[in-house]
Amino acid sequence: MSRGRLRAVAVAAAVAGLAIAVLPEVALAHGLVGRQDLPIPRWLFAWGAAAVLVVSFVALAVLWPRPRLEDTSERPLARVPAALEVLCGALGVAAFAAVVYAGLAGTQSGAANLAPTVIYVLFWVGLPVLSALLGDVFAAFSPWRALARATAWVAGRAGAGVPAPMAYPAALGRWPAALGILAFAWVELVYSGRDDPSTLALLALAYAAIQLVGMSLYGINAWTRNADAFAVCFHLFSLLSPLHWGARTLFARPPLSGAPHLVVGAGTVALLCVMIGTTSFDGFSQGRLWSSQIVPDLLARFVDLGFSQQTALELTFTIGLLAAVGFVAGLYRLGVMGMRSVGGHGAVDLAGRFVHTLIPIALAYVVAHYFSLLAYQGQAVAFLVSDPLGDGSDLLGTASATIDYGVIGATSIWYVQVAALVIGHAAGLTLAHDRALVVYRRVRDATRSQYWMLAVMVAFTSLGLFLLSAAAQE
Amino acid sequence: MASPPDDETRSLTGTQRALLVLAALGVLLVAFVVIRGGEDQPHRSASPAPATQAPATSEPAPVPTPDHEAQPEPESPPVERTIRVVGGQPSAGARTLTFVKGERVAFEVVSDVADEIHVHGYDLRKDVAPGATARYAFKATIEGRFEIELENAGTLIATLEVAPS
Repeated sequence: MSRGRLRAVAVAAAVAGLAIAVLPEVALAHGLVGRQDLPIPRWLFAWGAAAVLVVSFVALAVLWPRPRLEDTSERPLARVPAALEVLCGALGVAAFAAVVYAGLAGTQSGAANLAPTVIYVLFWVGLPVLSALLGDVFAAFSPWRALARATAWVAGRAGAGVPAPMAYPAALGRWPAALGILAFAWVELVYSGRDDPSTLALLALAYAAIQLVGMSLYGINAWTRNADAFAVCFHLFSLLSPLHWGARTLFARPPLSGAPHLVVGAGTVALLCVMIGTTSFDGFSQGRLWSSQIVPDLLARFVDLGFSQQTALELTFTIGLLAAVGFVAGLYRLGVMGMRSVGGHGAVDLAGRFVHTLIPIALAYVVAHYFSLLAYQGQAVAFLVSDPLGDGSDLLGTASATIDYGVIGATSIWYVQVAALVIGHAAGLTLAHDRALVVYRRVRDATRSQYWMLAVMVAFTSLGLFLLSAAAQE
Repeated sequence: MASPPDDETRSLTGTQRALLVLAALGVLLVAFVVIRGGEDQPHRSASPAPATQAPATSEPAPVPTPDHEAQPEPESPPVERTIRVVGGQPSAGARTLTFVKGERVAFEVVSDVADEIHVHGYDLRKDVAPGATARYAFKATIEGRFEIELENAGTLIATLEVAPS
């Protein structure tokens, strides 16, 4: 077992080393799009805050005395043919190959190459939204999972005995996924080569390689459920969906009712804190508080220590990113400590039992911060697929399309942002109350414990509103 | 399954719950109208760059309609709308140029380096030679914050902010 892990580490290190060796090209220090949302105006901030309070008090008032979402039943909707699964997997592999090829062979201008937009917009923002609406679609399209399954199928057919996978270490849990998301966020928000297509393509290859090694060591399902950062992340969002893709069958279920079934292991709390914390940092780092108060100070210190301007900037942003994750983790921890005072349960136990209530918050943050990116930069895919390499080709006849910024105005974006936060807040409260009824035998204890969760949710939602209003504001 | 909870505390009927939710929605609606009406001014941030014209628009009463006609048309670009690039960097730092949708955006860039100036979002590009001036004048049609960059150097020289009218 330790030999297997060593092997995995060695492969990962080699791939990472390969990636680093190609990196030193200095890239632009700005985002892909060069556009930011306007901060939400004061009246909308006030309205959002009011909505949060009213929703919270209503939630307290209409408390239902028995769990509603914990034990729901699913209704089969349709059969899923095996061919569909094969088709989706093949599409996923083809898309992956196309993006990597575009990144490596195409123009190295981030905005004119297919790779950065597909990775940062369609993959990273589009899939969470799609998962929350349609269920865990990524499981079918995941290129590395499809490759691994195809390999296993071929090996099984050929009669070559596939060695039984090792047991996935319970202590490792979802920590690899938490680290994976943190690493991705670091590349997106901190790393100076974030928009560099060839770097992104190499990182994507490295990621796929690590997943293939992991799946071969620990089995496809165990690895995908725990350690494949993106699979785990999109799966979490899919738990909110009214659709559930079972084995060969599509089920319908009440929205949110998948979340209580989350299997919590080591690292799950960390993963959700990373997901919320990194999005928070993305918002915070656009604000003046960050860019004109904190950055210059930290930057000067690192430059004094002898780092180059660029390294100093990356170090500063790394600290900010980690601090944001730590802040979010601390906030959740505080709520859990408060709940513990109700009695009967330890902090670790409670942190795990309530962690699924953070999934809607995480989704709300994603929508609030990246909705406009999806709405605007998502359109770029129309012309990028026709000219994926940025060399002037026009494969589908859409290369001359442009981004229409008129599709949605700033005011509508504000409404979407605030609505996402308020709905996420209500969903989080609903899940928390439902779980409290299971954890605590007496309704009164459940209610008392929920004052703390209410405080946590209000804190997260207020933080979200603050980030939207402070995004790039003085 | 949890053991049967002791229902000593609350026993709301379904109708009562529904009424509560409805009442809450009503409160929200009223709050929205009140707050919306109370501060109907489009958001203008007090950025370092002087806003086009920010007279204390003396509106008689909070009218919950957008004040299209209340906006006076700006006549000429103010003098401050010049971005000077010295040594490849904006001499006064990257300022924010604030406009309201529908207004005319006008500014100029004086640069001591050769580069391409790119106004993102509006996607306007102009080459500038050392010592030369690039003039921009266009209508603010897209809302949002947009980077104005020395494209090749990747240096942010100003931010264009267009607020909803």
